[in-house]
Amino acid sequence: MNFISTQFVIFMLVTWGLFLVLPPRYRWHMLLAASYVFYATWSIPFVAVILLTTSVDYLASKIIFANASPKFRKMTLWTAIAVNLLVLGYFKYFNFFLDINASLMKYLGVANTMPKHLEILLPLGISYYTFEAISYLVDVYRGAKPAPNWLSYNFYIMYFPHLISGPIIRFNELWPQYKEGIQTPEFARVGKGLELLVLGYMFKLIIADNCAGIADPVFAKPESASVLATYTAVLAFAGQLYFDFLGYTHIARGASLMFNLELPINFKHPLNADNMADFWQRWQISLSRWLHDYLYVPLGGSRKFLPRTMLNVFITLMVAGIWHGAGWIYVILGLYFGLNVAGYHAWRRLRKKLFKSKDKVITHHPLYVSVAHVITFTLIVLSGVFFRSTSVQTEVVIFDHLIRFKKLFEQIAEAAARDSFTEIGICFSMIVILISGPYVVRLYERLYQPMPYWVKLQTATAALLLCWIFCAEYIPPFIYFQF
Amino acid sequence: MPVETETRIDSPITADAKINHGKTRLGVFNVRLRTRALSAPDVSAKGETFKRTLIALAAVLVSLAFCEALARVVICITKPAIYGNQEMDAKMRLAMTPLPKNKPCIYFLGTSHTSRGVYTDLIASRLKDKGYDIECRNLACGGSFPSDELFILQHALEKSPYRFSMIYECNQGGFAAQPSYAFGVGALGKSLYYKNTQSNWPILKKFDLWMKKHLYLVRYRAILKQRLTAIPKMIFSPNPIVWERKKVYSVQDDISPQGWAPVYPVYDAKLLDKSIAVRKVQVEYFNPTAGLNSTRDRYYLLEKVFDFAKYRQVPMTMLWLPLHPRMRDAFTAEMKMTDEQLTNKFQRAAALDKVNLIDLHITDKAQNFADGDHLNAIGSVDISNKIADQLLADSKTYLDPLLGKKQ
Repeated sequence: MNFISTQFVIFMLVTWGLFLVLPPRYRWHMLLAASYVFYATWSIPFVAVILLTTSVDYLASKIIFANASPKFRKMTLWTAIAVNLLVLGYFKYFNFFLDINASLMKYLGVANTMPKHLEILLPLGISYYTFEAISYLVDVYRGAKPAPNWLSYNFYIMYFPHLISGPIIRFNELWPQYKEGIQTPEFARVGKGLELLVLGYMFKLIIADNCAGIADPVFAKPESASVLATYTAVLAFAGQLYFDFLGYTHIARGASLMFNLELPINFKHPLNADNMADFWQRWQISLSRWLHDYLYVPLGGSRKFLPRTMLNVFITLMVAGIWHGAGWIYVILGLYFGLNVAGYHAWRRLRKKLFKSKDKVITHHPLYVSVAHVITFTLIVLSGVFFRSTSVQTEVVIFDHLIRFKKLFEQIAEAAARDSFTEIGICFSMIVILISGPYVVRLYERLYQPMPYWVKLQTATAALLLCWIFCAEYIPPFIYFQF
Repeated sequence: MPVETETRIDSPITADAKINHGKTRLGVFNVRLRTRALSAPDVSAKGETFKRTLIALAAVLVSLAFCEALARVVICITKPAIYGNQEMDAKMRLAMTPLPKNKPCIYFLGTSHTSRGVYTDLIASRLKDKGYDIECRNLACGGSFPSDELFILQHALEKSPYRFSMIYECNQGGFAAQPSYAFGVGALGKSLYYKNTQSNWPILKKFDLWMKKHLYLVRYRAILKQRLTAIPKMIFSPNPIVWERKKVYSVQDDISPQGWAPVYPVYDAKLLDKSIAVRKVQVEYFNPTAGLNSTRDRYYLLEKVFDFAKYRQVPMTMLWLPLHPRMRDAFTAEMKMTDEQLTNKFQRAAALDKVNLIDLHITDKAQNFADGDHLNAIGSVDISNKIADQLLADSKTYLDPLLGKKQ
């Protein structure tokens, strides 16, 4: 069931109606049942996969918590993590392993006895709930209390607003919100939920999907596109990716607020980051937080000397890249982020050594800040090429177009001579949309937030109608649904 | 656009992005989300909640009514097109005008090239001079696809189910359509009659149709989108011809009784240069391996027309219209490839579906064109005479069957 469908609207209305009529202590049970229905509309067999992993995780957490032997606890933890990773690895990465194996066998000149490809469908949201399960296990290992019963743990994993594409939440963040039942949400909270829902739909339908219409043809056949069209498409994809995911997160958080459960924010104006490290503090915050706590810190974090810190950062971001999908393009994506962030740390250390006490003065200088913003923005937009490309060849062709500056200027001049400003206009609009976030939010909070609730509702209704009128002919599913 | 709206410090869940610039701690991941357990919210008095809920519902209804009123204003500024655009409306009106009883008809179908380029009134009068009292109707629409044309034809046949034949256009002018255009839909897709409802459930279907009947917001959704985006589209118009076209005839006002819509009166060198420049941009999307398939929506669907003709046992003819010589020169390789592909397609259609061909695609008269691929008024008179000549020259194939004469 897609968030953008009549079925979802009906599902939400029915679930919310039931939620309101049920006593608070039974509400989360009903939400759990609804979440199973939500998931089963995609695939019934994959429900079994979740049942299996949640059962293993719950049992493991109980064993870890109850047992005093550190060795046994550790062994149980690793076994449970291994089960989760094996399930993830089978569904998500097995074909990639087969590809690597086939290439390796070919390179070595050995006959490949393994199959070339298996028809494996990816269970929806597996990357997200696997990470949530691991965080739960590790937290229990570190001393947190496990879920009191299987259902409560199952609800944490299955709760439908965050099941498919996050945000990745911790058990001890969600559990306190439903352990004593879920109260009826306040009027203001329902309003906030609706506001987030409307904003989410606007981001997805008006911005992201229309951006997809610009980016898709070029990424489908980059060799045929002009340099200007390639620039337009790359910028449009940055807008599509950001607003698609932001739209999803808003809808998820909004839907959850309707049930009086809060999910954490996931974005904080990532395109306005000062550097690539800052970007990862602003982009998919729940994932970066997970990677930090469960991978980067255990690897040693930044406590060691610089090369080791850089290696830790590199490994962490490689995992972030590969987490997104199986294939060389995701390896390259991880490599790109890893090199960028590790490079930034090296530069920061070097800068401090060079400028010493003047470091802060220089880094706060408007010129330095502006240059840093432009470089980071460019790097972020370029990361979209790795993300969107379907093959390494596509990436090569697109980057080949992007470095033809002379041709770009020629084509801009040619377009201007023809009075055709479509592509130039799109490029300019995309840059404005992508970087104006904080200012628009400030304006939004100043103008919209003080309005009475009924005016807000009227605006929201008009906004939804606008979404309906301006939505693209074809509404693609959320990009992050594939992960 | 607004991004995260809930970033206030007092929010229960707030990103705490304090960056630790300490020597030993990396500032990469130290984003912390503070979450506090939500205390049970104060339960407002039931009466108050009920009152606020009622006000909320009223507010939504008022907003809907206001938007509907606004939509009616936007729609009523000018007469809205019922079938996606004014030209298709005009052609539908023509299609729905019944023919005199038992009068045979030749329907000309295709795109703007036929609509502007085939002077059907002239062809009919030429045929009549030779004793063939046959109506000729130009039902072609600018920017249409075969599905649109079959839709119009279907309505024409409902009103005048007599003997008829079809002449369908083919032209390489659109060989280099941009993907966004090729992936889009034609005029019919924007009309009210396309997929009356997208719902599969009976109740939703009824509700959908009810809304379409009563609400302008629903009925004219596509037109609202067109009108509300008209200004930015005009500013960023990718096709400068759109501007020029406004200066000459308009389709809805200057259409001939039998459907000829002479939008472009005379040769215009500036227009030609611009149209070739536009195609040069578009040609970057030309797929050398797929060739004609790059405009799959336009040519691929031709099979539908062939099937229709075969099923209805209707004599069908393809009309291969010319391009400006400079247009051919500008895209020699593409033209050669599409020439071959079209020729193969016609040969196959001739063999399998008994489709005839009137081949007028080679011309050297540059003055006949308004731009690279559209004929001007002079050119359309010239080409219409040639079509009439060919029809009369092979009257056994094209005309006699329509009059019921034995071949």
